[in-house]
Amino acid sequence: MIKNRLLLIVFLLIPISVFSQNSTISGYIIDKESGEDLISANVYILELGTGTTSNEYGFYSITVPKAKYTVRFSYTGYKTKTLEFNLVNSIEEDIELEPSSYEIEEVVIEDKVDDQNVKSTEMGTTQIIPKELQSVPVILGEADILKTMQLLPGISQAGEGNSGFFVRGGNIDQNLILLDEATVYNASHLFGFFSVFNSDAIKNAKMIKGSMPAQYGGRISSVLDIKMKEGNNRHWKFNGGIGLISSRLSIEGPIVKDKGSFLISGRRTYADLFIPLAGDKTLNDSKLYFYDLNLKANYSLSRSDKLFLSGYFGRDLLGYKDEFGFDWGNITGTLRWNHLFSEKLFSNTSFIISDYNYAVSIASGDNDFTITSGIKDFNFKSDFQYFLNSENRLSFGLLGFYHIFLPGEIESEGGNVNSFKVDNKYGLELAAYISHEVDISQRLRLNYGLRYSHYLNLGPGNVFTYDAAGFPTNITPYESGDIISNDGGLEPRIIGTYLLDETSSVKASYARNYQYIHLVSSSTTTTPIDVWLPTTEIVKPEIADQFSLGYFKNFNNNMYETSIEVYYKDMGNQIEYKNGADIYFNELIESQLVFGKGWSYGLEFLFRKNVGDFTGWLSYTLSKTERKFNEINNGNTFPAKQDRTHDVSITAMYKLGKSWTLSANWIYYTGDAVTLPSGKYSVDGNTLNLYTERNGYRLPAYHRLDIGATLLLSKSKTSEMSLTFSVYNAYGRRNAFVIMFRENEDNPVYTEAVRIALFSFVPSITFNFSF
Amino acid sequence: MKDKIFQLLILFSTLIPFLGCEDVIEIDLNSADPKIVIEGVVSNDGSPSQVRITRSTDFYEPGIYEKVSGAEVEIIDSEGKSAILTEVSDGLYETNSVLGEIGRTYFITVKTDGDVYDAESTIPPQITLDSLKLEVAPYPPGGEVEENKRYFLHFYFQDLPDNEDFCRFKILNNGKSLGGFRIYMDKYTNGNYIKSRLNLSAEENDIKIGDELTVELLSIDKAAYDYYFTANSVNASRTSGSGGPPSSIAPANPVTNWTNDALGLFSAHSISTQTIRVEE
Repeated sequence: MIKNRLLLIVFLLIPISVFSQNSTISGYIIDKESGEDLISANVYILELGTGTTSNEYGFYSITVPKAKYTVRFSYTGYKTKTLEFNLVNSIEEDIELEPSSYEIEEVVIEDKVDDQNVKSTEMGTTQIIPKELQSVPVILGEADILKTMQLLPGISQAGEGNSGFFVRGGNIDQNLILLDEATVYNASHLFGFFSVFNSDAIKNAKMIKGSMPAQYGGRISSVLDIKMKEGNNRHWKFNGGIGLISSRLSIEGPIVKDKGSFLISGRRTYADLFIPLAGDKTLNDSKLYFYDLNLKANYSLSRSDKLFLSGYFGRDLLGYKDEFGFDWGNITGTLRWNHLFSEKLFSNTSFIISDYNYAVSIASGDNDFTITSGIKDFNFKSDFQYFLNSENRLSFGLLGFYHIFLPGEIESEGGNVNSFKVDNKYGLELAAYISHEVDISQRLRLNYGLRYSHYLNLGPGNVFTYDAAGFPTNITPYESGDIISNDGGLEPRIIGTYLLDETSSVKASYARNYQYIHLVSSSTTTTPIDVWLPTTEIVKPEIADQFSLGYFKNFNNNMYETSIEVYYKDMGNQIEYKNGADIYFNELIESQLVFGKGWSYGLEFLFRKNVGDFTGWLSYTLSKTERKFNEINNGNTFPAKQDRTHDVSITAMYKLGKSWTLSANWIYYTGDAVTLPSGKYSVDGNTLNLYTERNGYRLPAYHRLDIGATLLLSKSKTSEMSLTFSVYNAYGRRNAFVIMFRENEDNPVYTEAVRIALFSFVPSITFNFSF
Repeated sequence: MKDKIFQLLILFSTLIPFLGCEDVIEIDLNSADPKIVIEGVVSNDGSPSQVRITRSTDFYEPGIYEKVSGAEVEIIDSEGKSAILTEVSDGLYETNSVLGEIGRTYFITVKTDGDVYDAESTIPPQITLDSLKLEVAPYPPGGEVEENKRYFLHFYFQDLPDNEDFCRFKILNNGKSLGGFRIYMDKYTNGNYIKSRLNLSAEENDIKIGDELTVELLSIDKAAYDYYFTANSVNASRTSGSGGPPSSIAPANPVTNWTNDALGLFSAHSISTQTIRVEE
């Protein structure tokens, strides 16, 4: 029904301006220095008061009636370029924009900064360009996109120093994290203290908090779409940093000048090299580090065909002698082909693999075995963008994922433990979408679309059915290629923007999202050993419906941006483990789950200053997030762990003279909802804590101040050297990471609460260079 | 494995200066209505079948638990033999009329204050403890023995090949039970000759030369295993060995075999015992 109606609207709207005498201006918008494509750069035709933006490959196309035009090309941080076109026939024009970092003051006065945030049909969306955030203080001096994201409204950190995040009350696994279109299953290093994204290799990151256009899908809470740099195709460039805990180096350069380029970027921590200094001999044989390697190459075959190859390899390695080893990591690979069918029809076709796995090896006492587990994807997708005219833009495409789940395997070399394997599971996730962005009038803009997704749970494999108590009652074997079960649904999406005047707008959106693969976490933060579960006959796809409404206003010639958004999100088929669930290597894992629902609503406020010596933002979120499961908390509604009533963050950066940049951020949020004991009792001489309700207590409020300073040592047109100092948790607040309850050491008749705080006052220094 | 990960986390945090700290804090915890706790034991070692009934108390109260007297406690086995237990001291009920036998199922009913609580438990085939061995070593390896003296208590037994086995090991020092619920299941080890090793801190467990360490291997049923497995993460006892933070995102009361929301466990089990003397 809905589908038919939407298609009807599409066809009614398309013909409006097809038959006029039009021509097209199209091309790529690129950085003059590096040749990198610029994503979401603005194209504005002064005479018509209309425009467009470049897509995620820097391509723009605008079709307008034949006439003389003045076209302005602009992008934050770059000098605006204004060109005259006499449009008789279609024109292909690649635009090179020059970084404006040398004459910041001029730019502010001369040019109006774009007001895309007000005019675009994007809600709950933020772009982050790592370059702009180098001076935001972070733990251990590593600039980190995921941690900077957490300073924005509606996005909160999963735990102290953690790169995991919750978006609008959703769980960590409900965020789709893409690196050059490849799914990154575990975005954390070292239990979350670092993200896997090395800022040196990242061009742009876009966070969508739920009002996603139809091209995105597969997770119900958010999309974080990260694009790697292409590599400088003009000249060689070296970038790097030396820090206390890690160092990084990037090399980029042309393969063939202006035709192709490459980028190699690596990072490794070396905390383990300092272990001998700790003086504790027992730690000497420990291994503890991670590395990241980002590779990318691109080549233009012709004006209308470009090839991109990108890869990510990262791994954490921990160990102690030969007795214990634990390593985990992601591999992603993306091969993309951009093709222009015409100056109006752009396409991208990608083959993607992504692989996450971990291995634990234990060789101590009488045990000698290795445990492995993971998930692997093969993904094909094809996306099209049709730039019909200045008012209409169509996107459509299809994609397929082949998922291989490896729940776990134990390989034993003898001793107590037997070799053991839980059968792999297989699935095919398919989707197709169409969406239409249209300027209905000068004031009203709409982006609506429809996505259909479908999941096939495939053989081979044994399928169990269970009785009410969770005991298996029946086993059905399936052959390779058999469809065991399938599920699917329509995902309508719509966002409307109504301009109240040139600097303010009201936006509203609705989006439905399906999620077919699930991560049920048993711990308070993400761990490398969390297990992904497919949708089956028992595990239903998670479904979220989100409504949001926002008011956007820019002040003072767009020097200040503000927005207020309210949202309501309803989440169905949510999953939790039963109490005492047997999670690992359990072929009957589905009997260990319970299913329920959740919802979240809130208000998000953002005030931002983007230009001038003093920049930064203030973000505030007021929200409520609850869950309801028949089997948990006696069926009563309980607050989700991430239910944080108030969440505030203030980030400020100040340029002090030519060489210093000072920065600070302060974070405050309501303590997590936690389950604490209300009493105690004795069983067989042991004191056990007594619990009365789920998440009925609160941790003390979390707050902390980080400060940073960057000293520019030298700067020329081609090279730069700087030192970054930072202090994480400057006033040493002991934020509770976890609270334990145990007997008092001296008087075991009494029990006490013990707070464990992880980081208080962590200073760091990093030397950064580029030439 | 979670424990290992947490240890590594702590290890990691020790590598960075100025962080990782632990302190006692006062938290405003609600007071909870006292809940009934029933511990029932039927074993095959000839000791009387026993039920202990107490009530829970508030977290910050001293750990002295109210004993529940005057309850009516009845045990029936799968052969139809039944007995009413007598209260031998406050809150402690016993009988010698129904004793543990391997393969039998025991049904228990407790009536007190107008509430009725039921449970059942089966004594599984018995696993026999083969032998013990004691080794002194520093922990972690590589350090000085005297700094942190550890006893590695090795024990050996044959897992039953045709059975899904669950065990609990009770460790006693001079007859006094060490805290904690040390448990075993044979999901990954079915049919193997098991060489197990316990790492006991001399200081924490107050183990001295000349002491006698006893290992009781209890063959328990799955319900009892599940109980101890879930009880481990909420055990506040110092020497429980479960230590560390709660490994679960939301700790909860253990999964019990009692009906009507009673706390505690009814366990019918067999016992195999070995003792070793702590030598120089």
